Amino acid sequence: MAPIIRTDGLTKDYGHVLGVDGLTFEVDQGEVMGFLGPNGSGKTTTIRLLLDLLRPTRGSATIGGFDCHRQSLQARRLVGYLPGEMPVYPELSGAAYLAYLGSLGAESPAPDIVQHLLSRFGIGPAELKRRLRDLSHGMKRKLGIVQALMTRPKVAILDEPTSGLDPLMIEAFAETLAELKRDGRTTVFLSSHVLSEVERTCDRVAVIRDGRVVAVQTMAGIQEGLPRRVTVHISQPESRPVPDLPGVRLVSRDAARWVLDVVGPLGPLLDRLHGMPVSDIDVQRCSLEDYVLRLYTDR
Amino acid sequence: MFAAVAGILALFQMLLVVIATSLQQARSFDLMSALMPLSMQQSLGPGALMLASFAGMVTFGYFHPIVVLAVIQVGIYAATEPAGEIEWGLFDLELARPVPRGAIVTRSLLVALGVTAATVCAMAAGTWVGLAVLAPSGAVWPSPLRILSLAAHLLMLSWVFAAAGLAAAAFARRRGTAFGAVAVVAVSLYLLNFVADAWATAAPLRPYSPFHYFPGFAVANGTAPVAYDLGVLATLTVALVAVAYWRFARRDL
Repeated sequence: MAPIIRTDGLTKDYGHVLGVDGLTFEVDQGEVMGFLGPNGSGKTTTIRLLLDLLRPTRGSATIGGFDCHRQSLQARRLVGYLPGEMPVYPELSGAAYLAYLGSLGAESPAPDIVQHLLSRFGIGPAELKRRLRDLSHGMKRKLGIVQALMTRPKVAILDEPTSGLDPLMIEAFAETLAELKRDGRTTVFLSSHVLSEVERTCDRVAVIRDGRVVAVQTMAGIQEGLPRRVTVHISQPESRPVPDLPGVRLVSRDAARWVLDVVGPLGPLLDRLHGMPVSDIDVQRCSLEDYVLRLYTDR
Repeated sequence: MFAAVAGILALFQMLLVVIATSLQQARSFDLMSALMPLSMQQSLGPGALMLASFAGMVTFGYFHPIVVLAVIQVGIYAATEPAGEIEWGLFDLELARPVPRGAIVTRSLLVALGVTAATVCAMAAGTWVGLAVLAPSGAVWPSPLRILSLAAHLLMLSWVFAAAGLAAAAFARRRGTAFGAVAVVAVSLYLLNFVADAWATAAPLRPYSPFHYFPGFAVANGTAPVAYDLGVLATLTVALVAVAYWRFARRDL
């Protein structure tokens, strides 16, 4: 599929610190891409460069083929955005705020879509009438998600979308993403620290560290590349050496068990265990968290 | 807040009519002009004696330092809104939509020009309501042209500082910084003009203060170069607004 977001050597130098450094990646149309990285790694800087809130020092970014800086208005016509912190005019009601933000867009929000989102996130007429200053953090966050998606934008850029949401609302958000994915019209680019949520909802992830992209991988590719932790429980002492197979690495061994990391199919290992006094085999799949933590900490 | 300031200033104009009426009825204006020291007449200029008249007292409300600085602060506060929106992150949502940055500057500019104009209009309304309701019969009212000229000077002066506020907001990340800096500059320039009027050594600095182009007594007397003064103030306003547009289009938010 054609990329709808593309960055090419995107760099932001704040003078005292490098925000992002030569960032190059693409997000394909219709996919949900997770953007991961430790605090201060450059996620929000990247998002703000895409929205032309920050100006790049070098390099470029495009959304829908429009340069995010030189053709910023055209690029922003395609975008729905949820910032990491939901800013509000405290004296406005929720309904007035949604109407105001809706009036600034290229397209007016369709009432049925707004109603659908409000209902999914449990925002009723009473909440919409209340002043924003009186709403909880979670309720403001939900309004933030609604305003970002209410025009069914071609590109939804969501910065920590589920921060402050309760489990029910996190589920509602996942359902919304699944719906957008089925619809295929909206590309989602989301940053998050909740790796289980990313694992569940994203097609691909890009990992950024110290302002540089250190990995871009599909979820399936991550799973394939991650080792499985295999623990072989042995009923009698075994003196044979651990099988020397490609993709198999010994983590530890004692009289009762071998602990191995295995990348690739398990068949060859199981063949070599034939005839040994194996009482049990325990296989654990490494999670996205293991993968990401390794990328965060590898130097 | 803007409405409250406008209301207070309008009431102040009415209060001046009450004071002028009281002095008129007590026949105190003649006494005031006789007792005014020569040094005071010299420091306040040839229009000083004008204060010792009903019409002069009524017009004083348009160039009283507190009134002038209050109207200016209203303009600065309104114009520094963009820095506040940056501070609170509100632009993140507004400018993530297809809104040109210039539209934000235009919006704040119009608000600043509007609230200062409304404030000065409220003052003028206060003056005319006060005169219509409270002035004694036989009192000589200030001419509408003089009131208009004073109001135009006050308004244009406040627009200069509103434009300065807008320009400062285009550089700042916090409203307090932008507002505070321009407010301090405004007070400093007022003092510079005051000192330059009273102290011959500082006189060459006088043209560098925008307050120099609102000589209150001279405007009230009809002896000020109105077109020149307003022209200078308007040019300053336009230049500062241009700086604001230029900077805001280029900055990181």
